[in-house]
Amino acid sequence: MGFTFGPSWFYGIDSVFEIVAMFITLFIAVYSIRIYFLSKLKKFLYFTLAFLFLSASYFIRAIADYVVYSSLTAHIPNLMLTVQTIAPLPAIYSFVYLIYVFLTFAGFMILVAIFMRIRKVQTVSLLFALVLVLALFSQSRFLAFHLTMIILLLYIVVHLLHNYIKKGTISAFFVLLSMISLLIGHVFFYLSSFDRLFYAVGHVLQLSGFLLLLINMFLVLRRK
Amino acid sequence: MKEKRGRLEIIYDILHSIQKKNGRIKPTHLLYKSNLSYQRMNVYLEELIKKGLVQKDFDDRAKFYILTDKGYSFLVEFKRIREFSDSFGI
Repeated sequence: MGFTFGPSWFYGIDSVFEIVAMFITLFIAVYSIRIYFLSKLKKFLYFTLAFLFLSASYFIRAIADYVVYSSLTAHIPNLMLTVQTIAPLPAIYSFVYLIYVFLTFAGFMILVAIFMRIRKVQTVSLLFALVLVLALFSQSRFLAFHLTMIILLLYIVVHLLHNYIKKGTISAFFVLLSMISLLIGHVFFYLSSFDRLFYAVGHVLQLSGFLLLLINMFLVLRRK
Repeated sequence: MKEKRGRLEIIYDILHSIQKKNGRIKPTHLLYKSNLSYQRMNVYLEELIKKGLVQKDFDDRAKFYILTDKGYSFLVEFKRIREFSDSFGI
């Protein structure tokens, strides 16, 4: 899998953003498991699982980004000026990025299954396998990954839009906005193979999406 | 058609009915407000008493159910759970 380089001033900031996303998704997972223990409703168990997968994926991505930048800049001092936007990676990093892709797909696939009320485990596992095979064995894994994420997030956004129209609450609006932000973020990640700046914009949008989810959590927990 | 209430919603309805009567309700009123059969209501009440959310109380003439502090806290927690659940539409 290729590695996308952001602008030089963005070095390391992407890892910090991913660590923030990791903590927010972990926070949501912890709250969701508390609800599961209280209610014994399986949907909250699956919801916990989805956010745990996402949390693990951002953790792995943050570490990988940091290690890749550190090791590559140590070997090629003027890396930021010379390399093309997407560079090939050593095998170990490719493997780590595959784990990241697997965990991200798993998290978002479970969310899609919960939102679309797909109850059969066989159906979810089949969809997951198809998505994984398409993304991993395509000619350009990087583009296939972000394109698949855009499709998954589109379905999530449509569900959340219906939900917001039905409920009309501020928290439903924040969750909708957060997923729109993640969706546009992945569009920019997709385009980052053409311009490095889009990589940074994608990260800012991704962080904004997770911060909106955090605001939603504060709104929920503030309620009396 | 309205969706069938889950276990958590039924517990909320019972506790909310007691809260609306200033935290003290007669079994007959609770039966009417909670929209359950007599047997099912008793099963839920036994569970709520065991978990310390509700207490039984007697005076000279009748039996009452009282909402405990833990019961009040549960009602607040339930509203949060519902808001969380509604925000994601799950």
